[in-house]
Amino acid sequence: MWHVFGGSARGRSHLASDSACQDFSAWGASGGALCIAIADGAGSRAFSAQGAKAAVETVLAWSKETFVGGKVTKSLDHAFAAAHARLVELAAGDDASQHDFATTLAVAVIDSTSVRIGQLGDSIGVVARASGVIEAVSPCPRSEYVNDTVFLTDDAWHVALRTARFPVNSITALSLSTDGLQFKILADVAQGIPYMPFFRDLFSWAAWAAPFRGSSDSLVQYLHELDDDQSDDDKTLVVAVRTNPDGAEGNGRPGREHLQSQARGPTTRWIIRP
Amino acid sequence: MPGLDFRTNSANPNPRVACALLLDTSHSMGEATVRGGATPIDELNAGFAAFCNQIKTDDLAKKRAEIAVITFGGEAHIAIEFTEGRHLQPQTFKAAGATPMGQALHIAVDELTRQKQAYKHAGLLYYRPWLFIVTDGAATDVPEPFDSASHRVRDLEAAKGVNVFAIGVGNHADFRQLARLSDVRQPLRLKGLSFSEFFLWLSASMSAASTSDGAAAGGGTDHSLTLPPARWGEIAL
Repeated sequence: MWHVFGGSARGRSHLASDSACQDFSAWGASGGALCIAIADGAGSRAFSAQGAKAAVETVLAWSKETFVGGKVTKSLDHAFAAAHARLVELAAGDDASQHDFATTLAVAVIDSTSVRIGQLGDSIGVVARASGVIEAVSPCPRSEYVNDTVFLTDDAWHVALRTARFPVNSITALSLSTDGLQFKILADVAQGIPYMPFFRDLFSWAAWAAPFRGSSDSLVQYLHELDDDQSDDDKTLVVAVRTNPDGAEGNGRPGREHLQSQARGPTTRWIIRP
Repeated sequence: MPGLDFRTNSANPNPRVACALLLDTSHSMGEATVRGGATPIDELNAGFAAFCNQIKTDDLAKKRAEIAVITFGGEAHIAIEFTEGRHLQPQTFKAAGATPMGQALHIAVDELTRQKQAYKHAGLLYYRPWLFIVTDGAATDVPEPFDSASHRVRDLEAAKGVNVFAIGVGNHADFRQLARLSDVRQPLRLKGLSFSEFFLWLSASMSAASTSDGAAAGGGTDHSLTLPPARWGEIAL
Protein backbone atom coordinates (compact mmCIF):
# COMPACT_ATOMS: atom_id res chain seq x y z
CA MET A 1 0.00 0.00 0.00
CA TRP A 2 1.27 3.46 -0.89
CA HIS A 3 0.62 6.41 1.35
CA VAL A 4 1.13 9.98 0.19
CA PHE A 5 1.30 13.15 2.22
CA GLY A 6 2.87 16.53 2.15
CA GLY A 7 2.20 20.06 1.03
CA SER A 8 3.68 23.52 0.83
CA ALA A 9 4.58 26.42 3.07
CA ARG A 10 5.03 30.02 2.04
CA GLY A 11 8.56 31.31 2.22
CA ARG A 12 9.53 34.32 4.25
CA SER A 13 9.55 36.61 1.23
CA HIS A 14 5.92 35.82 0.47
CA LEU A 15 4.97 36.00 4.14
CA ALA A 16 6.58 39.43 4.38
CA SER A 17 4.75 40.72 1.33
CA ASP A 18 1.58 38.81 2.21
CA SER A 19 1.57 37.32 -1.27
CA ALA A 20 0.46 33.89 -2.36
CA CYS A 21 2.49 30.72 -2.31
CA GLN A 22 3.81 30.03 -5.79
CA ASP A 23 4.37 26.33 -5.13
CA PHE A 24 1.56 23.88 -5.76
CA SER A 25 1.20 20.16 -5.29
CA ALA A 26 -1.43 17.50 -5.80
CA TRP A 27 -1.71 13.78 -5.93
CA GLY A 28 -4.36 11.24 -6.74
CA ALA A 29 -5.09 7.76 -7.97
CA SER A 30 -7.09 6.57 -10.89
CA GLY A 31 -7.22 3.40 -12.87
CA GLY A 32 -5.20 1.62 -10.20
CA ALA A 33 -2.17 3.87 -10.50
CA LEU A 34 -0.94 6.83 -8.51
CA CYS A 35 0.19 10.25 -9.69
CA ILE A 36 1.99 12.97 -7.70
CA ALA A 37 2.83 16.38 -9.11
CA ILE A 38 4.55 19.41 -7.64
CA ALA A 39 5.33 22.73 -9.28
CA ASP A 40 7.24 25.86 -8.36
CA GLY A 41 6.09 29.00 -10.11
CA ALA A 42 8.93 31.33 -11.09
CA GLY A 43 8.88 34.19 -8.62
CA SER A 44 9.86 36.69 -11.25
CA ARG A 45 6.91 36.00 -13.53
CA ALA A 46 3.50 37.61 -13.30
CA PHE A 47 1.23 34.56 -13.42
CA SER A 48 3.59 31.89 -12.17
CA ALA A 49 1.35 30.83 -9.29
CA GLN A 50 -1.44 30.21 -11.77
CA GLY A 51 1.06 28.41 -14.00
CA ALA A 52 2.13 26.09 -11.18
CA LYS A 53 -1.47 25.28 -10.27
CA ALA A 54 -2.54 24.73 -13.87
CA ALA A 55 0.46 22.51 -14.60
CA VAL A 56 -0.24 20.27 -11.61
CA GLU A 57 -3.97 20.06 -12.29
CA THR A 58 -3.33 19.24 -15.93
CA VAL A 59 -1.04 16.38 -14.96
CA LEU A 60 -3.65 14.99 -12.58
CA ALA A 61 -6.28 15.23 -15.32
CA TRP A 62 -3.87 13.51 -17.72
CA SER A 63 -3.41 10.70 -15.23
CA LYS A 64 -7.15 10.06 -15.12
CA GLU A 65 -7.22 9.56 -18.86
CA THR A 66 -4.03 7.59 -19.06
CA PHE A 67 -4.14 5.15 -16.18
CA VAL A 68 -6.02 2.03 -17.17
CA GLY A 69 -6.18 -1.28 -15.34
CA GLY A 70 -3.29 -0.51 -13.02
CA LYS A 71 -1.03 0.46 -15.90
CA VAL A 72 0.14 3.77 -17.20
CA THR A 73 -0.48 3.68 -20.91
CA LYS A 74 1.63 6.66 -21.98
CA SER A 75 5.08 7.94 -21.21
CA LEU A 76 5.66 10.80 -18.80
CA ASP A 77 6.60 13.03 -21.71
CA HIS A 78 2.91 13.19 -22.55
CA ALA A 79 2.07 14.54 -19.10
CA PHE A 80 4.60 17.34 -19.47
CA ALA A 81 3.48 18.04 -23.02
CA ALA A 82 -0.11 18.33 -21.84
CA ALA A 83 0.90 20.70 -19.06
CA HIS A 84 3.03 22.80 -21.42
CA ALA A 85 0.17 23.03 -23.89
CA ARG A 86 -2.19 24.09 -21.11
CA LEU A 87 0.07 26.96 -20.08
CA VAL A 88 0.44 28.11 -23.69
CA GLU A 89 -3.33 27.99 -23.96
CA LEU A 90 -3.80 29.96 -20.75
CA ALA A 91 -1.37 32.62 -21.91
CA ALA A 92 -3.12 32.95 -25.25
CA GLY A 93 -6.44 33.33 -23.47
CA ASP A 94 -5.05 36.07 -21.26
CA ASP A 95 -3.21 37.74 -24.12
CA ALA A 96 -0.03 37.21 -22.12
CA SER A 97 3.32 35.63 -22.78
CA GLN A 98 3.57 31.94 -21.94
CA HIS A 99 6.70 32.86 -20.00
CA ASP A 100 4.54 34.82 -17.57
CA PHE A 101 3.22 31.42 -16.42
CA ALA A 102 6.70 29.96 -15.93
CA THR A 103 6.91 27.06 -13.52
CA THR A 104 8.96 24.01 -12.83
CA LEU A 105 7.20 20.64 -12.69
CA ALA A 106 7.99 17.28 -11.16
CA VAL A 107 5.80 14.21 -11.56
CA ALA A 108 5.92 10.76 -10.00
CA VAL A 109 3.78 7.96 -11.34
CA ILE A 110 3.44 4.62 -9.59
CA ASP A 111 1.67 1.72 -11.17
CA SER A 112 1.71 -2.02 -10.60
CA THR A 113 5.09 -2.46 -12.24
CA SER A 114 7.10 0.69 -11.98
CA VAL A 115 7.86 3.99 -10.35
CA ARG A 116 8.52 6.74 -12.86
CA ILE A 117 9.74 10.20 -12.05
CA GLY A 118 9.95 13.11 -14.46
CA GLN A 119 11.42 16.48 -13.60
CA LEU A 120 11.69 19.77 -15.38
CA GLY A 121 13.57 22.46 -13.50
CA ASP A 122 15.24 22.51 -10.13
CA SER A 123 12.98 20.18 -8.17
CA ILE A 124 14.58 17.55 -5.95
CA GLY A 125 13.52 13.95 -6.38
CA VAL A 126 14.80 11.31 -3.99
CA VAL A 127 14.04 7.59 -3.68
CA ALA A 128 14.71 5.01 -1.01
CA ARG A 129 15.52 1.66 -2.52
CA ALA A 130 14.47 -1.61 -0.99
CA SER A 131 18.18 -2.21 -0.39
CA GLY A 132 18.19 0.76 1.96
CA VAL A 133 20.08 3.02 -0.40
CA ILE A 134 18.79 6.57 -0.64
CA GLU A 135 19.60 8.38 -3.85
CA ALA A 136 18.77 11.45 -5.86
CA VAL A 137 16.76 10.92 -9.01
CA SER A 138 18.29 12.66 -12.03
CA PRO A 139 19.53 15.78 -10.21
CA CYS A 140 19.07 19.07 -11.97
CA PRO A 141 22.14 20.04 -13.99
CA ARG A 142 23.48 23.28 -12.59
CA SER A 143 23.78 26.43 -14.60
CA GLU A 144 26.26 29.13 -13.70
CA TYR A 145 23.82 30.85 -11.35
CA VAL A 146 22.22 29.10 -8.45
CA ASN A 147 18.73 30.32 -9.35
CA ASP A 148 18.92 29.62 -13.08
CA THR A 149 16.64 26.83 -14.16
CA VAL A 150 14.43 25.70 -17.00
CA PHE A 151 10.70 26.05 -17.02
CA LEU A 152 7.79 24.17 -18.45
CA THR A 153 6.98 27.24 -20.53
CA ASP A 154 10.32 27.17 -22.34
CA ASP A 155 9.91 26.23 -25.96
CA ALA A 156 12.62 23.59 -25.66
CA TRP A 157 11.27 22.14 -22.40
CA HIS A 158 11.39 18.59 -23.77
CA VAL A 159 15.18 18.80 -24.17
CA ALA A 160 15.56 19.49 -20.44
CA LEU A 161 13.09 16.86 -19.20
CA ARG A 162 14.77 14.31 -16.94
CA THR A 163 13.05 10.98 -16.46
CA ALA A 164 13.85 7.85 -14.50
CA ARG A 165 12.09 4.53 -14.09
CA PHE A 166 12.42 1.92 -11.34
CA PRO A 167 10.76 -1.48 -10.76
CA VAL A 168 8.01 -0.79 -8.27
CA ASN A 169 9.23 -3.37 -5.79
CA SER A 170 12.68 -1.81 -5.73
CA ILE A 171 11.40 1.43 -4.20
CA THR A 172 10.08 1.79 -0.67
CA ALA A 173 9.69 5.56 -0.55
CA LEU A 174 10.15 8.66 -2.63
CA SER A 175 9.95 12.36 -2.14
CA LEU A 176 9.54 15.35 -4.41
CA SER A 177 10.43 18.81 -3.23
CA THR A 178 11.00 22.29 -4.57
CA ASP A 179 14.26 24.21 -4.48
CA GLY A 180 13.19 26.24 -1.47
CA LEU A 181 14.46 23.32 0.60
CA GLN A 182 17.71 22.75 -1.23
CA PHE A 183 20.10 24.23 1.32
CA LYS A 184 18.64 22.15 4.12
CA ILE A 185 18.02 18.77 2.48
CA LEU A 186 20.98 18.52 0.13
CA ALA A 187 24.49 17.66 1.21
CA ASP A 188 25.87 19.25 -1.95
CA VAL A 189 23.61 21.75 -3.64
CA ALA A 190 25.72 22.01 -6.78
CA GLN A 191 25.73 18.24 -7.32
CA GLY A 192 22.23 17.62 -6.00
CA ILE A 193 23.43 15.03 -3.49
CA PRO A 194 20.83 14.31 -0.78
CA TYR A 195 21.65 15.03 2.84
CA MET A 196 21.23 11.48 4.09
CA PRO A 197 20.31 12.20 7.72
CA PHE A 198 17.34 14.25 6.55
CA PHE A 199 16.02 11.61 4.21
CA ARG A 200 16.61 8.78 6.66
CA ASP A 201 14.59 10.72 9.22
CA LEU A 202 11.92 11.66 6.70
CA PHE A 203 11.38 8.20 5.28
CA SER A 204 11.53 6.53 8.69
CA TRP A 205 8.94 8.94 10.01
CA ALA A 206 6.82 8.52 6.89
CA ALA A 207 6.73 4.74 7.31
CA TRP A 208 5.69 5.21 10.91
CA ALA A 209 3.20 8.01 10.26
CA ALA A 210 1.58 6.45 7.22
CA PRO A 211 -1.47 5.02 9.01
CA PHE A 212 -2.30 8.23 10.82
CA ARG A 213 -4.56 10.98 9.71
CA GLY A 214 -2.91 14.35 9.93
CA SER A 215 0.47 13.35 8.54
CA SER A 216 0.21 16.00 5.85
CA ASP A 217 -0.62 18.60 8.48
CA SER A 218 2.45 17.56 10.44
CA LEU A 219 4.68 17.77 7.42
CA VAL A 220 3.34 21.16 6.38
CA GLN A 221 3.72 22.41 9.94
CA TYR A 222 7.30 21.22 9.81
CA LEU A 223 7.87 23.23 6.64
CA HIS A 224 6.35 26.31 8.27
CA GLU A 225 8.58 26.00 11.29
CA LEU A 226 11.77 24.97 9.55
CA ASP A 227 14.58 27.24 10.63
CA ASP A 228 16.10 28.19 7.29
CA ASP A 229 18.27 31.29 7.19
CA GLN A 230 19.52 30.53 3.69
CA SER A 231 16.38 30.69 1.60
CA ASP A 232 13.21 32.74 1.81
CA ASP A 233 11.57 30.76 -0.98
CA ASP A 234 8.36 28.72 -0.77
CA LYS A 235 8.90 25.14 0.29
CA THR A 236 7.12 22.01 -0.90
CA LEU A 237 7.66 18.45 0.22
CA VAL A 238 5.56 15.47 -0.79
CA VAL A 239 6.49 11.98 0.30
CA ALA A 240 5.14 8.62 -0.83
CA VAL A 241 5.91 5.55 1.21
CA ARG A 242 5.12 1.89 0.61
CA THR A 243 4.13 0.03 3.71
CA ASN A 244 4.16 -3.46 2.28
CA PRO A 245 7.74 -3.69 1.08
CA ASP A 246 7.48 -7.40 0.40
CA GLY A 247 5.09 -6.95 -2.46
CA ALA A 248 1.82 -5.59 -3.68
CA GLU A 249 -1.42 -6.47 -2.03
CA GLY A 250 -5.16 -6.34 -2.16
CA ASN A 251 -7.51 -5.09 -4.77
CA GLY A 252 -6.93 -2.13 -6.95
CA ARG A 253 -9.10 0.51 -5.42
CA PRO A 254 -10.76 3.09 -7.64
CA GLY A 255 -8.92 6.29 -7.27
CA ARG A 256 -9.94 9.11 -5.09
CA GLU A 257 -8.27 12.31 -5.82
CA HIS A 258 -7.12 15.02 -3.56
CA LEU A 259 -6.04 18.40 -4.80
CA GLN A 260 -3.59 20.08 -2.51
CA SER A 261 -4.20 23.80 -2.64
CA GLN A 262 -1.03 24.90 -0.83
CA ALA A 263 -0.95 24.10 2.73
CA ARG A 264 -2.58 21.04 4.08
CA GLY A 265 -4.51 17.93 3.28
CA PRO A 266 -5.28 14.53 4.62
CA THR A 267 -3.04 11.57 4.31
CA THR A 268 -4.14 9.57 1.32
CA ARG A 269 -3.65 5.89 0.74
CA TRP A 270 -3.84 3.74 -2.30
CA ILE A 271 -3.49 0.06 -2.95
CA ILE A 272 -1.92 -0.59 -6.31
CA ARG A 273 -2.92 -3.89 -7.89
CA PRO A 274 0.07 -6.04 -8.84
CA MET B 1 1.37 13.71 16.49
CA PRO B 2 4.51 15.31 17.95
CA GLY B 3 6.35 18.05 16.12
CA LEU B 4 8.84 16.85 13.57
CA ASP B 5 12.54 17.37 13.95
CA PHE B 6 14.33 15.93 10.96
CA ARG B 7 18.05 16.49 10.83
CA THR B 8 18.90 19.14 8.23
CA ASN B 9 22.14 20.31 6.76
CA SER B 10 23.50 23.43 8.42
CA ALA B 11 26.85 23.29 6.67
CA ASN B 12 25.95 24.42 3.18
CA PRO B 13 27.71 27.72 2.45
CA ASN B 14 25.53 30.66 1.58
CA PRO B 15 25.22 31.46 -2.09
CA ARG B 16 26.62 34.88 -2.96
CA VAL B 17 25.49 37.82 -4.97
CA ALA B 18 28.19 40.29 -5.97
CA CYS B 19 27.11 43.89 -6.26
CA ALA B 20 29.31 46.60 -7.74
CA LEU B 21 28.26 50.13 -6.79
CA LEU B 22 29.72 52.71 -9.13
CA LEU B 23 29.35 56.09 -7.48
CA ASP B 24 30.02 59.43 -9.11
CA THR B 25 32.25 61.49 -6.83
CA SER B 26 33.12 64.16 -9.38
CA HIS B 27 33.33 67.85 -8.53
CA SER B 28 29.68 68.55 -9.32
CA MET B 29 28.54 66.10 -6.64
CA GLY B 30 29.90 68.60 -4.11
CA GLU B 31 27.77 71.46 -5.36
CA ALA B 32 24.46 72.16 -3.69
CA THR B 33 21.57 72.26 -6.13
CA VAL B 34 19.88 74.85 -3.93
CA ARG B 35 21.88 77.63 -2.35
CA GLY B 36 22.63 76.60 1.22
CA GLY B 37 21.12 73.17 0.67
CA ALA B 38 22.68 69.75 1.10
CA THR B 39 25.13 68.63 -1.53
CA PRO B 40 24.60 65.39 -3.43
CA ILE B 41 27.82 63.97 -1.98
CA ASP B 42 26.57 64.62 1.58
CA GLU B 43 23.31 62.84 0.78
CA LEU B 44 25.18 60.02 -0.91
CA ASN B 45 27.39 59.54 2.14
CA ALA B 46 24.42 59.58 4.49
CA GLY B 47 22.58 57.11 2.28
CA PHE B 48 25.55 54.78 2.05
CA ALA B 49 25.96 54.85 5.83
CA ALA B 50 22.28 53.93 6.20
CA PHE B 51 22.79 51.12 3.69
CA CYS B 52 25.72 49.73 5.69
CA ASN B 53 23.53 49.62 8.80
CA GLN B 54 20.40 48.37 7.10
CA ILE B 55 21.95 45.44 5.27
CA LYS B 56 23.21 44.06 8.57
CA THR B 57 19.61 43.70 9.74
CA ASP B 58 18.66 41.39 6.88
CA ASP B 59 19.49 37.79 7.70
CA LEU B 60 19.85 36.75 4.08
CA ALA B 61 21.42 39.84 2.58
CA LYS B 62 24.07 40.36 5.24
CA LYS B 63 25.60 36.96 4.46
CA ARG B 64 24.70 36.65 0.82
CA ALA B 65 25.51 40.07 -0.61
CA GLU B 66 29.07 41.11 -1.29
CA ILE B 67 29.43 44.74 -2.18
CA ALA B 68 32.24 46.63 -3.84
CA VAL B 69 32.29 50.41 -4.29
CA ILE B 70 34.02 51.97 -7.25
CA THR B 71 34.11 55.75 -7.22
CA PHE B 72 34.76 57.95 -10.21
CA GLY B 73 35.77 61.52 -9.43
CA GLY B 74 39.01 62.71 -10.99
CA GLU B 75 40.02 59.10 -11.35
CA ALA B 76 38.19 55.81 -11.03
CA HIS B 77 39.29 53.47 -8.30
CA ILE B 78 38.05 50.77 -5.97
CA ALA B 79 37.05 52.51 -2.77
CA ILE B 80 35.80 49.31 -1.11
CA GLU B 81 36.79 45.82 -2.21
CA PHE B 82 34.08 43.15 -2.29
CA THR B 83 32.89 42.90 1.29
CA GLU B 84 30.12 40.84 2.86
CA GLY B 85 27.15 42.96 3.86
CA ARG B 86 27.59 42.14 7.51
CA HIS B 87 31.10 43.61 7.45
CA LEU B 88 30.40 46.65 5.29
CA GLN B 89 31.46 49.92 6.91
CA PRO B 90 30.43 53.47 6.01
CA GLN B 91 32.92 55.66 4.24
CA THR B 92 32.92 59.37 3.57
CA PHE B 93 33.41 59.98 -0.13
CA LYS B 94 34.85 63.31 -1.30
CA ALA B 95 33.76 65.11 -4.45
CA ALA B 96 36.48 66.24 -6.83
CA GLY B 97 37.58 66.16 -10.44
CA ALA B 98 36.07 65.01 -13.71
CA THR B 99 33.76 62.04 -14.40
CA PRO B 100 35.71 59.03 -15.73
CA MET B 101 32.68 56.78 -15.97
CA GLY B 102 34.19 54.61 -18.69
CA GLN B 103 37.18 53.80 -16.50
CA ALA B 104 34.86 52.90 -13.64
CA LEU B 105 32.81 50.60 -15.87
CA HIS B 106 35.91 48.78 -17.08
CA ILE B 107 37.05 48.29 -13.48
CA ALA B 108 33.58 47.05 -12.51
CA VAL B 109 33.44 44.45 -15.28
CA ASP B 110 36.95 43.26 -14.41
CA GLU B 111 36.11 43.03 -10.71
CA LEU B 112 32.79 41.25 -11.22
CA THR B 113 34.46 38.73 -13.51
CA ARG B 114 37.24 38.20 -10.98
CA GLN B 115 34.72 37.81 -8.17
CA LYS B 116 32.80 35.15 -10.06
CA GLN B 117 36.03 33.27 -10.61
CA ALA B 118 36.76 33.51 -6.90
CA TYR B 119 33.37 32.00 -6.13
CA LYS B 120 34.01 29.16 -8.55
CA HIS B 121 37.42 28.43 -7.05
CA ALA B 122 35.93 28.46 -3.56
CA GLY B 123 33.12 26.14 -4.60
CA LEU B 124 30.49 28.75 -3.76
CA LEU B 125 27.19 29.03 -5.56
CA TYR B 126 26.25 32.49 -6.71
CA TYR B 127 23.55 34.58 -8.31
CA ARG B 128 23.88 36.86 -11.28
CA PRO B 129 25.91 39.89 -10.20
CA TRP B 130 24.49 43.39 -10.01
CA LEU B 131 26.02 46.58 -11.31
CA PHE B 132 24.65 49.93 -10.15
CA ILE B 133 25.94 53.18 -11.55
CA VAL B 134 24.90 56.50 -10.03
CA THR B 135 25.90 59.83 -11.61
CA ASP B 136 24.81 63.44 -11.67
CA GLY B 137 26.50 64.23 -14.94
CA ALA B 138 28.04 62.71 -18.02
CA ALA B 139 31.13 60.67 -18.67
CA THR B 140 34.10 62.86 -19.42
CA ASP B 141 36.21 60.01 -20.76
CA VAL B 142 34.48 59.95 -24.14
CA PRO B 143 34.66 58.53 -26.70
CA GLU B 144 37.18 56.21 -25.07
CA PRO B 145 37.24 54.40 -22.77
CA PHE B 146 33.53 55.06 -22.26
CA ASP B 147 32.44 53.59 -25.61
CA SER B 148 34.32 50.33 -25.19
CA ALA B 149 33.21 50.09 -21.56
CA SER B 150 29.55 50.58 -22.40
CA HIS B 151 29.83 47.87 -25.05
CA ARG B 152 31.42 45.51 -22.54
CA VAL B 153 28.65 46.11 -20.04
CA ARG B 154 25.90 45.63 -22.59
CA ASP B 155 27.52 42.50 -23.99
CA LEU B 156 27.87 41.11 -20.48
CA GLU B 157 24.24 41.86 -19.78
CA ALA B 158 23.17 40.19 -23.03
CA ALA B 159 25.12 37.09 -22.00
CA LYS B 160 23.18 37.12 -18.71
CA GLY B 161 26.42 37.99 -16.96
CA VAL B 162 25.14 40.95 -14.96
CA ASN B 163 22.03 42.91 -14.00
CA VAL B 164 22.60 46.58 -14.80
CA PHE B 165 20.88 49.50 -13.08
CA ALA B 166 21.69 53.06 -14.16
CA ILE B 167 20.57 55.99 -12.03
CA GLY B 168 20.81 59.67 -12.80
CA VAL B 169 20.76 62.43 -10.23
CA GLY B 170 19.52 65.98 -10.83
CA ASN B 171 18.97 67.85 -14.05
CA HIS B 172 22.40 67.43 -15.55
CA ALA B 173 22.63 63.66 -15.62
CA ASP B 174 23.02 62.42 -19.19
CA PHE B 175 20.26 59.85 -19.43
CA ARG B 176 20.95 59.10 -23.09
CA GLN B 177 24.45 58.09 -22.11
CA LEU B 178 23.14 55.99 -19.23
CA ALA B 179 20.67 54.31 -21.56
CA ARG B 180 23.63 52.94 -23.52
CA LEU B 181 24.56 50.76 -20.57
CA SER B 182 21.56 48.45 -20.65
CA ASP B 183 19.23 46.99 -23.23
CA VAL B 184 17.02 45.62 -20.47
CA ARG B 185 16.34 48.45 -18.02
CA GLN B 186 15.78 52.10 -18.65
CA PRO B 187 17.81 54.44 -16.50
CA LEU B 188 15.93 55.90 -13.58
CA ARG B 189 16.08 59.42 -12.23
CA LEU B 190 16.59 59.72 -8.51
CA LYS B 191 13.78 61.79 -7.07
CA GLY B 192 15.52 64.83 -5.65
CA LEU B 193 18.43 63.68 -3.53
CA SER B 194 16.71 60.66 -2.07
CA PHE B 195 19.88 58.64 -1.75
CA SER B 196 18.76 57.23 1.58
CA GLU B 197 15.58 55.84 0.06
CA PHE B 198 17.61 54.36 -2.79
CA PHE B 199 20.08 52.66 -0.49
CA LEU B 200 17.36 51.31 1.78
CA TRP B 201 15.64 49.91 -1.31
CA LEU B 202 18.94 48.39 -2.40
CA SER B 203 19.35 46.67 0.94
CA ALA B 204 15.83 45.25 0.74
CA SER B 205 16.45 44.17 -2.84
CA MET B 206 19.54 42.15 -2.08
CA SER B 207 17.32 39.44 -0.62
CA ALA B 208 15.35 39.26 -3.83
CA ALA B 209 18.26 37.82 -5.75
CA SER B 210 17.11 34.31 -4.93
CA THR B 211 14.09 34.50 -7.21
CA SER B 212 14.20 31.65 -9.68
CA ASP B 213 15.46 32.75 -13.03
CA GLY B 214 15.00 31.13 -16.39
CA ALA B 215 18.40 30.64 -17.94
CA ALA B 216 16.81 29.52 -21.14
CA ALA B 217 13.56 31.37 -20.80
CA GLY B 218 12.55 33.24 -23.88
CA GLY B 219 10.50 36.33 -24.39
CA GLY B 220 13.29 38.70 -25.27
CA THR B 221 13.03 40.69 -22.08
CA ASP B 222 14.79 39.93 -18.87
CA HIS B 223 12.22 39.56 -16.10
CA SER B 224 14.62 37.77 -13.87
CA LEU B 225 14.27 40.06 -10.88
CA THR B 226 11.29 40.95 -8.82
CA LEU B 227 12.38 43.88 -6.71
CA PRO B 228 10.54 46.10 -4.27
CA PRO B 229 8.92 49.19 -5.82
CA ALA B 230 11.60 51.77 -6.54
CA ARG B 231 9.82 54.74 -4.98
CA TRP B 232 13.06 56.70 -5.00
CA GLY B 233 13.14 56.81 -8.77
CA GLU B 234 11.19 57.67 -11.88
CA ILE B 235 11.51 56.92 -15.55
CA ALA B 236 13.87 59.46 -17.00
CA LEU B 237 13.42 59.16 -20.75
